[in-house]
This record gives sequence, C-alpha cells and structure tokens, in this order.
Amino acid sequence: MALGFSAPPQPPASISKVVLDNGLTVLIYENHALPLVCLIAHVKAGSQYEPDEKAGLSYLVSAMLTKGTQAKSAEEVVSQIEFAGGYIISSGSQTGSFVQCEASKNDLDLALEMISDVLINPSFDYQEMERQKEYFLSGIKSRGDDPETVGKLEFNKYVYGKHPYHRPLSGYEETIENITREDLIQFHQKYYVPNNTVLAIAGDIDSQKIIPKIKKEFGGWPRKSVKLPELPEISSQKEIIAKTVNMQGEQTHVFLGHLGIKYKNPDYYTLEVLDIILGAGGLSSRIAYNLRDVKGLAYTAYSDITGSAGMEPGRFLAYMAVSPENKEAAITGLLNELQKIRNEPVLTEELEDAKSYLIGSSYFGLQGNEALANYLILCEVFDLGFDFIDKYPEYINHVTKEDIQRAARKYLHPEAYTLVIVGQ
Amino acid sequence: MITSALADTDVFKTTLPNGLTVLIKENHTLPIVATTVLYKVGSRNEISGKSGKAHLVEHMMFKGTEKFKKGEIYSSVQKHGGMLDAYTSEDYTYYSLSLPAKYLKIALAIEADRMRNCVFDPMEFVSEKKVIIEERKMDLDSPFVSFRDENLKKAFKVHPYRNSITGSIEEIEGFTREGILNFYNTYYQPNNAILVVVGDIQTDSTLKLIKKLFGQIPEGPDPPQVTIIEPEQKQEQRLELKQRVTHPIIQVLFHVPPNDTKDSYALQVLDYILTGGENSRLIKKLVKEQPIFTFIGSSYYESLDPYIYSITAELKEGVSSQKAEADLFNEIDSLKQDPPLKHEIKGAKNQLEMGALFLQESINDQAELLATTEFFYGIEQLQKYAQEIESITREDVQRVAQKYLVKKNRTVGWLLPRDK
Repeated sequence: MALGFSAPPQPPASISKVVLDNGLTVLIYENHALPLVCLIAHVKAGSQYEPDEKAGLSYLVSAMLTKGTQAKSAEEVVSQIEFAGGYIISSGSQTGSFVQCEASKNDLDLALEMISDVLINPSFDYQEMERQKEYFLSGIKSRGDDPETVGKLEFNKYVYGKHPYHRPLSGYEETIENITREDLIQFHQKYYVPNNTVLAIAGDIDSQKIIPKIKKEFGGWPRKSVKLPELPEISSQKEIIAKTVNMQGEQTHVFLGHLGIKYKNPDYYTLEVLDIILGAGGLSSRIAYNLRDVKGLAYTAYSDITGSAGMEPGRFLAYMAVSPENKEAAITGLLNELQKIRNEPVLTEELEDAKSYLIGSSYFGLQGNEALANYLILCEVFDLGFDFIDKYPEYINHVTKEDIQRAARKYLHPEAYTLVIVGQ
Repeated sequence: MITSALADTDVFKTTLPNGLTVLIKENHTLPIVATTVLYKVGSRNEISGKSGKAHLVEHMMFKGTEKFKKGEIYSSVQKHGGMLDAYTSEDYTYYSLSLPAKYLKIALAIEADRMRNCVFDPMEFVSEKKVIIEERKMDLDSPFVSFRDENLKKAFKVHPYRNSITGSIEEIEGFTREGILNFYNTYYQPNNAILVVVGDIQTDSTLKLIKKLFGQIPEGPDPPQVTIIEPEQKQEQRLELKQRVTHPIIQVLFHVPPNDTKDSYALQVLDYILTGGENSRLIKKLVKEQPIFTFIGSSYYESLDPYIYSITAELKEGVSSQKAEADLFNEIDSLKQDPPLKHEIKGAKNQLEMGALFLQESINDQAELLATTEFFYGIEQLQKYAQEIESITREDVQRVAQKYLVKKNRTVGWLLPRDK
C-alpha cells in the first residue's frame, strides 16, 4: 500500500556554483524550510601537511581562527554571533580546516562578515595561543583515560608508519609545546588562500542576491599559489602485529584491522555494500549480530573500511568491547567472519537488504542546512557532481555478489593485521 | 519574538477510543517518514532496589514479537534503508523508526505489534540481561557516569530519580522474566502512549492506517501513579569520589521545579545566562578571564517531578579546589545580588529561540519534539512556551537564582584523581 507521494529530493536547480576572480569556490544551496542559514568554509590545510615535529600545528591553527582577528578580540568574535543565537566554530581534520557559522536568515550579513574575518585575518594573539595550547595539553593528558581513544591512536601508529595519519590530530605534549606564534602565522599564510578554499552556503537565501554580498566580504582576499606537500606512499603490512596496552577497566577493548582504501578506489561502492553486510550496518551486520546477539560476547562490535576512505588511504578497523574472559573467543569470532566473507558469496537477501539500506538511508543524510552545505563540499572536493544523490542508487545497484567476494579477498586480510588490545 | 515553525504548521492531533494519543505532521521536503512512540514510563516508575526494569523492557522490545521474530524488527527497517533508535529516560521510554516514506506501514506495523505482543522469549531474556550488564560495566569504566550516579543518590533521598536508569549489576541479575513481563503489561498500553508520525505522508490515509493497526488494541488499566515526594533538602550535601581522572571535577546539583511552572521558564533563561556560550557568566569569568576551570557546563531539562539543575566543571591544573568552589559560588551569587543585564536576557532568549529552530531541521527531531511536548505539556502548549520565555524579565531570573541556587538546596560532588 503506497501512502502519500514520493517527492523527489530538492532538484539541482536549488544549487549553484560560482568561482570568484581570486579563485574562491562558492557553492550555494537554497533551502527555505526554516529561517536559518549555514556557512561552511573548507580550506585544504589539514594535519597531513604539518611536519611530524610540529604535530598538532594545523589543528591549533584551526582552533585559533575564532580566537581573535585584526579587528576583533576573541570575545568580540563570538559575542555578536552568540547574542544573535547563532554560533561560529572552527576545527580541523587530517585533510582540511573548516569554519562553520549558523545564524538566523536575518543575520546573513553578520555571518558572512564573521566567516571572512576569521578566515582571512586571524590575529593569533599570543595569550590566546597559550590558553589554547594549555587546553590542548589538558586534552592530550585526558586522552590517556579513554580506552577507545588510546586503542585507536595505538592502532594508527602501526598501520600508518611514517605517513602523517600515524599521529593524532592534536599532536603530542612535546610537539605542542614546541609550536610558536610564528609557526601559526606561517602555516596560515601558506595555506589559507582563496584558491585553496571552498565556501558552501545552505539556507533561506537568494542565490543571486547573495553573490554581491560574498564578493564584498571575500573579494579582497588575494590569490596566492599553494604547493601542497606530497604524502608518502604506505604499503600494507605483511604480518600480524599484536600489542597490548594495560589499562584498568571492566571491559577489554579490541581493535583489529589494517590499511584500507582511498575514496576514488573503483571498488568503493562495492565495499560500502560489504561494510553494511559485515560490520557497519548496525546490529544486523554479521559481526554485531553474531558476536553480540548470538554469542553475547560483546556489547559493542562493528567494523568499517569505507568510512575512513579519503584522498589518502583509510583503514579497515573492527572494534569490540568485551569482558576480559571473552577476549580470545571474540577475536576468533571476528577473524572467522573475515574469512567467511572472503570464502563464500554473500546471500542474495543480505546483498539486496544492504543495497536497499544504503539507497533508502541516503536521504536521511540531507536534512538540515549543515548537511546540505557539507554535501556541496563533498561533491566538489571529490568531483562527484551535485546530482550525486540521484546517481548514487545506480552505483549501489550495480554491485554483485561476485564483486563483494572479490573485494573482500583483495581488501580484507585476516592473515596480516594489526591487533591492539586495551585492557587487562 | 520566538517562533516555532512546528506551532505554526498543521499538527493533527486525535485520541483513539483505546486512549492512544496520535499526532501527525506532513513534511514533504524529502521522501522519508519518522514514527515515534513514547511510553509514559521511565526509571521514575521503578521501586528502589529494582531499578533498571524500564530499560530492560526497552531492550526486549527488539527481541521478538508475535509477528516479528528476533532480529526481524531490525532487519525489516534496515533493509528498507531506515534507522531505529530508542532510549529510556527518567520519565519516559522512547522509540523511533525512520524509513523511506513508502514504507510507513512497516514502521506502524512494528510499533502496533510490540505495544502488546512482545514475546519475552526466556533465552533472549537471559542473553539480553548479559548485554545490559556489559553496558553497565562500560558505564562503570567511565568515571563521569559513576560520579553522576553517586551525586544523584546523595541529592535524592527517596525519590526514584536517585537510581540509575540502567540499574546496578545485582539488580539486573535479579530480574525474572515474570517480573519484567508484569512491568511491561502494566505500562505498555495504548492509553499510556503517544504515537507521532512526521514526514512525506498524507494525514488522512495515515490516520486510517493507524486506526486499522492500533484501533483493535484494547485499552488497558490505568498504570499506578508515582506518589513518592522527595522531602525538601534542609542542608548542603557533599561527597567526594576518587577515580581514574587527570583533573578534579566538581558537579553541583540544585533541586528545581519541573517544567511548565513559572519558575522553570525563568530557570531556562538563567541556564543560558550562566553557561550558554563563551560570553556567558560562568564561562567568561571562570574559564576565560580567570582560568579556574578548563570547561564548565550545565544542564536543566524537562521532568515530570522536581529534578535537579546541574553545573559541572573541570579544574585547571594547579588550582585549589577550595578556591575554585568559592569562586564558582561567588559568581552564581552575583546573579542573586544584581539582576542580569538587558543584553544578557535578550541574548539568552535569542539562543533559546534559535535552539528551538535548530530542533526542527530533521523529521526525527520534529517527531521527538512533538512527542515530548505532548508528554510534558500537551501539544497545545507549543505556542504558550514561546510566550512564556518571551515574558521572562531580569527580575524573574534574579528571583529564581535567589530561590533555588542556595547552599542548603545544593549537593556538591568532587571527583578527584586517584593518586592525589
């Protein structure tokens, strides 16, 4: 019984792209559901571009953006936008830095002015920097308290070797202490330029009327050539590496996996389907269902290879939280699942269900302005086309059982993996 | 002026003959639909010594009904691209299913069946108790969870709000299938539930389907009321806990009235003035200007019975806990001495308004907002809420600070690093 009608998602006519003279890429998505606007600026200035001895630099630069500009103190930056009931945040990732501002549609001018100011003219005030460094150091210390964080960082160390992804975003105590104000300024000058930046705006706006406003705030930002550093190649491990980190706790945390794939890998969509069947599709995934529901070994159990795939290789990571006495059984169970998906084709029902899940759920990720702005950036950075949401079902529907088995054999390695155990 | 997009658009409400409250709202932005069922039972309804029942029932609601065998609820939703969610709070238990709109019938069929036809298979029962015990162990691994549990036990002497929602390991182990089934039969009745549907659907045909699937469920007996009243706290309560943390943490709990009282609206505004953003009183003064704490946050949320308003802060390296505590209370006291400034009130109200708008961006959020508003206030109150907040004055905020943020009304907990 079909209820209601299926309205298509917002047509691409609501989306537009403009590149300013200085190279700034502007992406716009009109969404008139609520009187809100969301602006996200994404700069290719992530932790992968900082040197090892300054680990945490890019994350610190990102954090410092909202801590004061040439014209405004840190307090002034936030007080206006907070008074209006909006917010402005900045953060970083391995690949990039982003500034995000949301406000009422009546405060669009304010939001544009804010974002351009923090992006272009951060002051990197010395005292703010010291304060922020302390905050980082406190976080680095607390990192050691959380078994999941400890495990993931240890895992990354062995999987990535010399590649920048081996180190945590917020760096280490020694490297943070070594960062100077000059380092922040240099990094900012090098990478924060309009031709290295994408600005996405989603919300209750007029695509035409907003362009002159954007030009007013961003037009004066000078273009500058950027040389993004080359990143080292990483090879997959050939042997098992096993490490234990001792930590008090009721549970034992198990991390098992190895190097993964890049987003542009031709098997990406095949592996998305594999992920849902194996371990990323919630409690009906094989790993969760068998190890949690059937055997009662774990409260949490999942695995994923596509979630971390980016311009750089991600990782295949399976995680389980178990009681210490169940550790061996859980690991054996997990490895059996990896073997099984390599050796036997998945069931037709599993395949169809996983595909239906991916396609059906893709719409849920498009709710709200933040999601729409991020969608624009994703489509732009990975060259997907703004009608990606319409093409996505085809990509997924093409995946066959043979594709999955072939991809499992090629990309899952129960014979050569890194195993990190955090617990007793 | 606070606007609520939900209040302005049509929300259809009706009550079926068996007492089930039904709310339907059309939203044609994306071809998806969210259904939620809120049962008016939470940890508040449990007897001390037997806490964790509501939470265990929540888990069992996924473990097999007459029409849906174990695992089928998950798979039925997942394979159509949907998502499931559920949680147990102090006051209610909440279930949410989201699907592409063309599969609305599946969501409704699941909710109609598990409302009264949950099987409670004995083996599943045993296995799920184990899973919850693992969940409880995970909680115990987190110093913050056990800290809050201890604080609540100190702040509440008799009211069930003092108990953890999950229950203790001993309590969970002690539950029998009969006892849990009895709990389910008492509280999982149509007259004790609210059903909400939001999405790309038509109201008329949706209502017709709801009547078809839920209409035949007979009305159940009225569940027992919670009559326990927490006696007034007469003096400050204190506790100290040592756990695996790197810096001391203070958590202060103040007894406050539940929502939908005049004072509670003023407290919501007060809450934002204290910790709503970087220019709020406590963050500006105690995190940024004088670095006493590395973070400070607060939480005041809706409750049926009087609950607590909590303020939590982590001490900066090298700061004495006595000084920090004194500074924190001095800062709070300043709001009692002088009412907040005009721009503080305006800013707090703007934040509350924008917060309400942000809560309406997804259909799941809209459905949850409708369900909880209906539960705590009655849906008609959506517009009243906006007016109540708008009417709060600087003097109102000062008044509630003077009335509730006082020494004898507070419980002060300190979480200290083990080796100090």
